[in-house]
Amino acid sequence: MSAPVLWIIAPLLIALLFLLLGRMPRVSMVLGALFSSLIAISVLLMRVQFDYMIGSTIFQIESTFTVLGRVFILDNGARTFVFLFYAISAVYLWFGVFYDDEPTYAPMSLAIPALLSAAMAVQIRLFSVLFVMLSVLLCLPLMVKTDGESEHGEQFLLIFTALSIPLLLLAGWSADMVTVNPLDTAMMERAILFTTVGFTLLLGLFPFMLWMPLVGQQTRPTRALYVLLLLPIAFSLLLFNTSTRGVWFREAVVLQDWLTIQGYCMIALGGLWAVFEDDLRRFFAFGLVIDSGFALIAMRQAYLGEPTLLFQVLTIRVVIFILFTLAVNVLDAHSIPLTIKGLRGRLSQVPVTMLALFGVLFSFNGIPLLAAFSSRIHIVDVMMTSEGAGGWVWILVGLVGYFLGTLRFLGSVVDIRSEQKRVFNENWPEILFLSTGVLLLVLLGLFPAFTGDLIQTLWAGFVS
Amino acid sequence: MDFNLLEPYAVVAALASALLLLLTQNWRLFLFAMALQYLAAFFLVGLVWAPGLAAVKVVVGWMAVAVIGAVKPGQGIDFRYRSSKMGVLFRFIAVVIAGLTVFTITPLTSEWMGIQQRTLFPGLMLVTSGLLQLGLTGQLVRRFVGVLSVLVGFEIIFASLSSSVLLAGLMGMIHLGIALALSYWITVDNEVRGETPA
Repeated sequence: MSAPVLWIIAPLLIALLFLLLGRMPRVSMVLGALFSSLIAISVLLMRVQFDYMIGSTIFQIESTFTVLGRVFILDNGARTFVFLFYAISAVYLWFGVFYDDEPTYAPMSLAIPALLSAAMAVQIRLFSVLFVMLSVLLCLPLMVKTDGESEHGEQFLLIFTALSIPLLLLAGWSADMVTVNPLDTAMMERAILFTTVGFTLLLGLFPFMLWMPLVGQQTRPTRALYVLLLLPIAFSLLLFNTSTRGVWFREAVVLQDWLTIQGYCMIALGGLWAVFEDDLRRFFAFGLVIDSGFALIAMRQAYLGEPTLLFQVLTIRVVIFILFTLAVNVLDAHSIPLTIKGLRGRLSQVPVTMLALFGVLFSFNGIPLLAAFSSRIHIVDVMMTSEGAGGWVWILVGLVGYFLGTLRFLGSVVDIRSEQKRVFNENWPEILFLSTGVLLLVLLGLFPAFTGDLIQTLWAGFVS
Repeated sequence: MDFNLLEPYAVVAALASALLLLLTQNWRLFLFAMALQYLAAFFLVGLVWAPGLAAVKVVVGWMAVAVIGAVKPGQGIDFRYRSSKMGVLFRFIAVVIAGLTVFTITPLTSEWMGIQQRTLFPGLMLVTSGLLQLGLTGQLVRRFVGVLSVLVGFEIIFASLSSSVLLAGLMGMIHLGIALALSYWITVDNEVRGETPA
């Protein structure tokens, strides 16, 4: 038994079986959520290449699996991202059980993390992008609406990912050629060029980032947020993995500049577009655009040997997304329109949900004492030191824009002139989970050193 | 089978399919052009890969064409251009200019990447025609077929650089996946509009 069989092939087979349960969506959702949770727990608890005793039999989980001449390796370091992918799937499947029982959701949510794990595990990293493309293709059934409207966000996601394949394959090939001849500077330049353009398309960076708000707006909240959370994190980890190509790659000035400039563009443009946004889901997606900008700047630091900041940004993003998904689902379940107009005066009806919602939005703003503050301030500090005050202006523009947008939503929600009935609409489980989420956001903001250490411990294996 | 003898015909087939895909308004001719594109890819990849492995291109490609051909775009997702004859002329001129550009840059690119011109030229031509499809129209079918053309063209080029069973298999799955996604979209659209597939 090997880890790739347990955590890649077995989930894919289970996903195939779940397709047969298409007419019983609720059953497949519950089973899917259970399986995802089990896999996530098994990844957390089971160590690879460690002797386990069952009775008198000793068995060991191997780290490698060979198929069609290619090796897949999932060692103890890899358990971090495998756990992350399955844990996200498990949480979103549980959301689906209560709020959105779509027949294809369970099988796809098992297959997508399996394929993303395969992308990270395949040796000759060249082929990673092919598994990524397959996982994007599996995301499509989750996002296609059945009301016949054409979904541009999903189309853009598919087209950009498909167009990144040639570039990233050429980038991988060029990097492999550099391994053969380490003095080939022309090949190094090609590897860097193809990587930057390829990841610009794959990660949806400037000017290709508009698929994020489009997906956020056009698809059901749970599924849209699942895709918006999982894919960018997996793509970011793939980009981080390219740092293993060598010092020539990690410390290339062009690559560092690309990360910095893209980071600034994403932050500034995300904030500027968010100011005038009336749809809550699109507004949140612009928050993701800003967060991606910070992740890119953190990636630059990760390339220079300080990956903790990047993992902090990504981990906090997971918490923010989960809380937002819960809040949006509660609003959706109570038929509250997710627009600035629809939210007018709703504070008295769903106060805890609104508290969670604004906790999330202000966290994306990097407001002090909330989750993202410490990582944001650290990134700004680093950029001020290395780039001077110029970069700070871009970051300021983005954050002020997003803050003003958040204030517009806040103003609408607390509007006392509204004629909404003052009926308390939340049930106790919702209040409990939402309050816990808000508490977590505050704790992450109040004790950044403690949570930073925790996050570092969680990701330590991956870095090694 | 001597792939070297068939190479000139494969290049012509690739160019013809690129031109047809951009210009035709006839659904069957459109599908034929797609099938021709995959056939050309088979013969061009066969120049550098084992025939058995190269055959994956045509088998999977024709399966993708069959999947797309099984549904016919209706009123909602139409594949026809909404433009006059001048539009056709414009697209023809665009293809010719793109072809001349590709013809001009092929020797330089061949030197830069270390790939023979005989596979690079048709490959680049298909990539360019795919990008033109993506850029010239917002129609779903043409966008997706444009993506497929880009990938086919790239595979012809990349075959000279890397040969792998896993690569061939995964690329095949991607082609099929994109075709399935397209036909799914068309089916959903047809169902909503109460139209029956062809």
